[in-house]
Amino acid sequence: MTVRERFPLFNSFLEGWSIFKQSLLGRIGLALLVLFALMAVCSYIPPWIDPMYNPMTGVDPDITCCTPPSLRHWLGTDFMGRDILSQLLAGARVAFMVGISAAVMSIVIGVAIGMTAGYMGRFIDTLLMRLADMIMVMPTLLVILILAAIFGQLNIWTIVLIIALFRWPGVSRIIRGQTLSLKQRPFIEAAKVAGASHFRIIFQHIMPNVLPLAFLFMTFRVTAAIITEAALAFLGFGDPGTVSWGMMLQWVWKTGHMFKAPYWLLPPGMCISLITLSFYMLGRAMDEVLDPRLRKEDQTD
Amino acid sequence: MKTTDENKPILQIRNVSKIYRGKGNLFRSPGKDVVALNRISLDIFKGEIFGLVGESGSGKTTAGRLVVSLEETTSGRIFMENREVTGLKGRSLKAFRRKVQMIFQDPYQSLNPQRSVYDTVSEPLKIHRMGNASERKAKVKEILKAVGLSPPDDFLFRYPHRLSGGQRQRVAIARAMVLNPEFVIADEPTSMLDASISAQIFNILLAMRKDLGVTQMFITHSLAAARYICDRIAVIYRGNLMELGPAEAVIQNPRHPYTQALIDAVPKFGHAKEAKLYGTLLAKRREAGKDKGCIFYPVCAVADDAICPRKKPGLTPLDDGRMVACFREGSDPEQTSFLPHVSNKGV
Repeated sequence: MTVRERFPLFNSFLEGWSIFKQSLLGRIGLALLVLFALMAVCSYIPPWIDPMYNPMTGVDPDITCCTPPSLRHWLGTDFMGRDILSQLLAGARVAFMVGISAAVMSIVIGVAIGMTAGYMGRFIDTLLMRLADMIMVMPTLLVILILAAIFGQLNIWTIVLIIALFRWPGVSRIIRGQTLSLKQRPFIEAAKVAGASHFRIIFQHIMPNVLPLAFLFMTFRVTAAIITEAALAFLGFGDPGTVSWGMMLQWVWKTGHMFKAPYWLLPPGMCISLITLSFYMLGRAMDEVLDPRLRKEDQTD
Repeated sequence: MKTTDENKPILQIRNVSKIYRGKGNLFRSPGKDVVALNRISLDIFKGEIFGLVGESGSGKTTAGRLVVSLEETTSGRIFMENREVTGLKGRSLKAFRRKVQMIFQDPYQSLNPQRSVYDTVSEPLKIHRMGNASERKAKVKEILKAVGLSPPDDFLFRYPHRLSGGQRQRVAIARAMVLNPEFVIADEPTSMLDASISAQIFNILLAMRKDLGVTQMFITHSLAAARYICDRIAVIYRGNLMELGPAEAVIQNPRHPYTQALIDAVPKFGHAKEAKLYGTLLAKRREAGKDKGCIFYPVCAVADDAICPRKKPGLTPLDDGRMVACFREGSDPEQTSFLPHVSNKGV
């Protein structure tokens, strides 16, 4: 008995990987993602070299205005002499943090609600799905802006939580549909005849079959969460204690360097675009892994 | 009947009907009700293999699903070892499910693709808290060997997509048999498999009866399969029992025109179409009688226009120990006002 036979998840992971790596989109997305992950890891290095490289509080004592790239500051400094490169690295860390935690939360909520609605049916289904509809049509950004206006500056984790709370309905709709079709499959009836409880059927039989889909949706949710956070920060409602790319853009905008300092404006802007692009590409490639119909002819299944 | 203990009916179906109601709503008038089963009564005795034969849509699968409580009866009662099983809930339902298992038709659909053979076969044991981990494993290996998946170690951690159709159905049988049930319903277990594999599956079922004494209800559309495996068979047409008796007798010498038509429909090697033995099937449907008439009347070539469209024949015992619902064979009209004749102990 090999390791591959023993561990189903590992096995299906290997199979998925062999399809995934044939996809150009997937490879580019993954490469970009690895790059950003490296940036996030490296964000701890500059402040450790010299306290003046601290992205938030470190100020170069010799510089009091915005300067272009130099040997000492590879990407230049902002209006008060803070290092842009170290801010960019810290921004990568925040982007991952915000994106992944918001996505995981919304997926957990979405899967739980979707499976419950699909499995229970009837009244509970109607109730949960109407709730999902109501939340789905609410503009997330606007609601967060209003909340920020009411409660003042929002903590980054509060923002993550709100994004998650507003982004589950899409997931739960998909998961509900999948659950509805799984519920009718004979293997669920076979489990019932064996005496399985509802709890067991949901968690042992339905969940393993909807999880791949949930993971796929997670990549798209990451993108959405990062963009929402960036937009919020750019509009000035971000967490003032966190250096995110949206925050950097806001500083560029507020200090009037929008068209004067491209070395300050471009890096965070490009990073936001590229990280969302990379998660999107990753999602598309995973879509191909999960849906055999999307594969090319010569690909093996 | 080889091992049949005639005095002990293990399963009694009494006057069971299942009607699927057409759904309507505010904007749509309700569709027609579909009568899947119409007041079926039969007994199945301990240790026998009872065949339920009929064409597609005749209600035979519904009968199986009702017995294992996957669906609820519209009316009528089902008894298992003299205890009513219709409407069981909670703990008593779980206890009942330990005794009655089902083998499903399509082995490609009845196994969870995300679970290994071991997960699937050991699940009933886990659900009913039988044995510890090593005992369960030993039991699973034993049952896999019994259904012809050996060596069992090769199969334990395989996933359904790495099994052939025949192997999948063996796994499904193992799952049904692992609890040592007293009664198993096999719902067309071989309809998705080719002939040689089917024969192997039949032999497994026969071995299960011989070794474990499992009573079985075998649902099939194939008379050949029914004759090979069953002790007694019941022929069902559009939810109504037509003929019930020892398998050999019913197939060799059918008395009901519908059974005869079924025999005629079996393709015979080397014979052209005209070589019909009975010719009881009408080529063109005739006008149906009133609701009360015989259900087979519209396509019956030997019907008596005086009575068949007006009254429904009840299942009546014949002198040779079988039961037929046909006026031509001297059946009495079915009494709808009180409980119809239910016992078939004379068989």
